[in-house]
Amino acid sequence: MRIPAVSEEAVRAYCAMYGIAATDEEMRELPQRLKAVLADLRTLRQYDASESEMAVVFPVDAPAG
Amino acid sequence: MRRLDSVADSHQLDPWLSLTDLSRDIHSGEVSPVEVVTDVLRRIAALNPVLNCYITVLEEAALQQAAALEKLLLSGIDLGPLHGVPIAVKDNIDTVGVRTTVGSRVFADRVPDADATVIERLKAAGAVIVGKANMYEFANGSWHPDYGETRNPWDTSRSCYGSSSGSASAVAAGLAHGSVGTDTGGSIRYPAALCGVVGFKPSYGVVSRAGVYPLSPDLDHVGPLGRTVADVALQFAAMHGHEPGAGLSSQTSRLRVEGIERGIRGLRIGTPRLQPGEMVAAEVQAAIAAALGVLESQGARVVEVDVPDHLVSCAAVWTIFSAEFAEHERALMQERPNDYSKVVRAAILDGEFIPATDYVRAQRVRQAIRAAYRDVMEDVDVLALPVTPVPALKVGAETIDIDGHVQSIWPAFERYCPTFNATGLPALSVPCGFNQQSLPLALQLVGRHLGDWTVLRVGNAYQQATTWHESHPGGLGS
Repeated sequence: MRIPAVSEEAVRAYCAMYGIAATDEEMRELPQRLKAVLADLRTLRQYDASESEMAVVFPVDAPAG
Repeated sequence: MRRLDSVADSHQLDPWLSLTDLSRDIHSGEVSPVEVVTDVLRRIAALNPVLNCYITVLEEAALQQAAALEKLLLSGIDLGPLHGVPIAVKDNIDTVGVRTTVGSRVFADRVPDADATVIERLKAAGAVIVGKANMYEFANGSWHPDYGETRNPWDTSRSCYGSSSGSASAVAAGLAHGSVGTDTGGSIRYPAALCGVVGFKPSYGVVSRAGVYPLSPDLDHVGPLGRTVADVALQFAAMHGHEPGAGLSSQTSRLRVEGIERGIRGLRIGTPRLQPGEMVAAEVQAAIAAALGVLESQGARVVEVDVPDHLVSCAAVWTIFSAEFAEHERALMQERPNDYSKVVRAAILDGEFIPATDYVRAQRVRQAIRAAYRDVMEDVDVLALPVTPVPALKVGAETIDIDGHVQSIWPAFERYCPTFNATGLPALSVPCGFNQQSLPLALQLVGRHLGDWTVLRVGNAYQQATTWHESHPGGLGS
């Protein structure tokens, strides 16, 4: 799977849009690191989770008895 | 009163006494809570400058609490096995009137006005808090430079890893008889394993997280550390319990602590088959194989099982906690960006850039992994696997060497723990030997959901038949 590169400009625009605090240095470094991070997520995308129940993210508040 | 150090001219008790044995001595009147706490504070004063286990030491408050507990005991009021026992508490757990830094500069002066529920319960059970234990900044990434790195008592050039590093190091060094930590991806089990103590991550929601600073609410757990499984069981018994109305709360069976003495005849222990690319140091494999032999000799049956890919669990857990942590910190990061370390700032930025679709995907994968483990655990009572593939790393290490194969720390070092945060299954780290450099090795035991007492029962049976937990680091005095 091809991992798209995130440009420094895109990082700057995103940080500005969402008010994310980041220094110039961090915004310069981030694209390269994100490439590795998003590559790691390939394992998630390839895993067969088709039968999982999305709605049950949090366990209910129920004692086991 | 017993004096175990013939050289000392003041109270000097055996710092390696288990919590269980110390409790017996306190209740028999052989030692008093004030003597015990005085002695632990003396050791902290001597050794904390080297080990850096504690961010805050509660000298005055601990002695006052011990004196009050001593009076209670003398008047016939016994709060239970923890009455007068000194414990350490990780510094992301609120303690009323005592600063709780979360290992960060952001909260360097924060003093909570209420105890976390787990602290209320431990105090009600008579535990004496002697200090707030050092930890990774926000339980994520590394130590903040303001507090520095906790050292491993077995070799101070080595790390305890994290994030409950102070909680583990303090117990291993005799600077507390028990402690409390938190575990979002292995943060109780890694330092416990590397410091040669017992660490227990209970089932998800069994110990209240009210008043505990969140890293990832979906994955956060609170649990005890101690020198023995019995010590951990006593603390767990005081800590756990359903909290009506608190949400995300459940409870284990009402089995009493004595249940861990029942033995393990007939229990089935599953050992996961090696997965593609998985490497474990030969010394760790040998120690675990020997531990399984011990369990078999006590009547358990060991069978091989297949479990979901550990690295998929790691990716799911990383994605969930990174996104949840970034969301939680967003406002504070905007207010006080310079009070976060570079490492944690980077972690938060990574979390900000995880696509929402990948977060949802991670939750779906997590559900699939939970379902797969439910199936696996229908056939076995407990799983046995490593905590880490190698023992404690040198301070500052960025890679690990597994019998000549050099790998990055993430995910190779953390392969075996995050799965049980994703599934919420109870998981125990138990010392199971030493390598040639005298570094502790550990076994991880994992139970069914809410099968916490069964896990403790297996760990206790193992310790009844072995003596690894009786070893302690050299060079730290008696």
